[in-house]
Amino acid sequence: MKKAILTQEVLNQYIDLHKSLKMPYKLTLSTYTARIISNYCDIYFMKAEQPVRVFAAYNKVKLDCKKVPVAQIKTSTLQYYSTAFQHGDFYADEIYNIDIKSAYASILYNDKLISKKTYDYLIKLPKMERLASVGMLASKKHHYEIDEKGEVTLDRIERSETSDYFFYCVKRTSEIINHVSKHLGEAFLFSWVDGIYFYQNNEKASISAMKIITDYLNENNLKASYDKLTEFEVKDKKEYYHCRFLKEGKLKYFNIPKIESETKNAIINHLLTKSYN
Amino acid sequence: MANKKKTPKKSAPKKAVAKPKKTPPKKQTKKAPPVPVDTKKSKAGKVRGSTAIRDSKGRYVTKLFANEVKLTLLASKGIDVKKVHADNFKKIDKLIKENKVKPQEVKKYYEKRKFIFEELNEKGELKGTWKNSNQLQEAIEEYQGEIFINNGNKTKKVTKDEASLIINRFKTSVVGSINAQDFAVMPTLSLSGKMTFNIPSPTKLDKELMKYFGIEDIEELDEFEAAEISEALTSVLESIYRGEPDLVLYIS
Repeated sequence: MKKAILTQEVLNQYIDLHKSLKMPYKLTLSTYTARIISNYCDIYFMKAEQPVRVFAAYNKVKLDCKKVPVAQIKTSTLQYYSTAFQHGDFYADEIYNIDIKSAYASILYNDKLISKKTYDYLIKLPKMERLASVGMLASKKHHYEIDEKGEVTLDRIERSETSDYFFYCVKRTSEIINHVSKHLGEAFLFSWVDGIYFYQNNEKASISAMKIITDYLNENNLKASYDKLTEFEVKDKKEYYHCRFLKEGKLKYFNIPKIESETKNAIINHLLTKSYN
Repeated sequence: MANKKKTPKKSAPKKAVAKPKKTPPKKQTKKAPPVPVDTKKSKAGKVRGSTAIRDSKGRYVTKLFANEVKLTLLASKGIDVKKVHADNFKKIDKLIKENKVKPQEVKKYYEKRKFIFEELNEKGELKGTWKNSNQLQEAIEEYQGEIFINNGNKTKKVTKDEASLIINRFKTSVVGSINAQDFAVMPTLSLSGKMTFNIPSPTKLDKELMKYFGIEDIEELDEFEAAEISEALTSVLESIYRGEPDLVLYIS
């Protein structure tokens, strides 16, 4: 098996080659990897080679987690963001942001799914590596078979047996964030995964809001980082909010989908699940 | 001429040429006895009239559409109506009776959600809710209608397996080359059983991005900040789909 760095261009070239040769092939896709197997080649693409310590951390987390069962979680119920924007565009010179530090690692440790030793190992890793090690819990591979006519068959989906531990982290994080947003009341603007964004029209009010949040997070054995964001601008698009602001002088963007009413969800679910035959 | 002069002004206007017909004198008949009113029927008719679903222009919706409303209401009560077609009047009536759903409840349910139902009734389709790549694949696995993907050039009918491949290739592409965490689309769903959503071909997206930044290799995107890429993507996707693309990439 040959190894290569995953780029869309190279992957496309291999796929196009098989298409033009009318040669059947097998394609495996995961978020960070791809593999093509045929009579012509066996090549494995990956985004970037992860350091050994990422796999070591993942193995530690996996071994710890497997000792404690967690309930199955429906991914369709998971919440990654929430908003409290009013209709129309919005601008504020300053808003505030609180991010939970090492959210997923802390939740795994606080909820006794990993040991102190594993937790300490995890939090020493750089952010992206830590995310990769925990993210591997939910890895998923799709195995496709493509015949000489180019017709696709999804052969099987290989789901990690530890997916629910990762989704548990997502679920717990959103619960904590939702709780914090309730503390903030009208000051709350939006949340994105483990970060919460709020507006206060004076410094004093923002300090007291931060104290309330800090106390709540401390009670839950969580640490947080605080930032003042400037030139915060929201554009109210038809189906999403386009947010733009400066964090430590660096420009940041978010596109946050609008959340639909429960009513619309019910109708959509009916259309998605009904029989049309 | 003489006749004309004699014609009294009041009874015959000048333009009138036809002579008024003589109406036969009314016969002096006995008054017919009053027809006995079927109060049950009349009451039922009034109830039907007051509980029938009308759109905002006052028009009655079709019976089939009214059945779709009933099915949605039943589904919201946790009743499995997946296999019940809107044209299966007997089955729907049975379910409605079994679950003690009154016509007033159906009307109230519709009235409260009129703005959504009307879009569905008028266009025959409804823009769905945002679904990230996992949620989209779960929805497709369960979906029993036809699936269409608009890649920016054309809308093509695909099988479930092809849709899965397109979604995952796009995900691998945006996670790999653009450093997005994931993406979400907003599928449009029709009453006739069509699901349509937008996913540009990764090649087209890469080409447009390279054009936007004036680079020759997509790998050079690494030199740009996530915020710049995010802004570029918004613009590129809007240009590919000539408006809001019903697709967002999660980049933070």
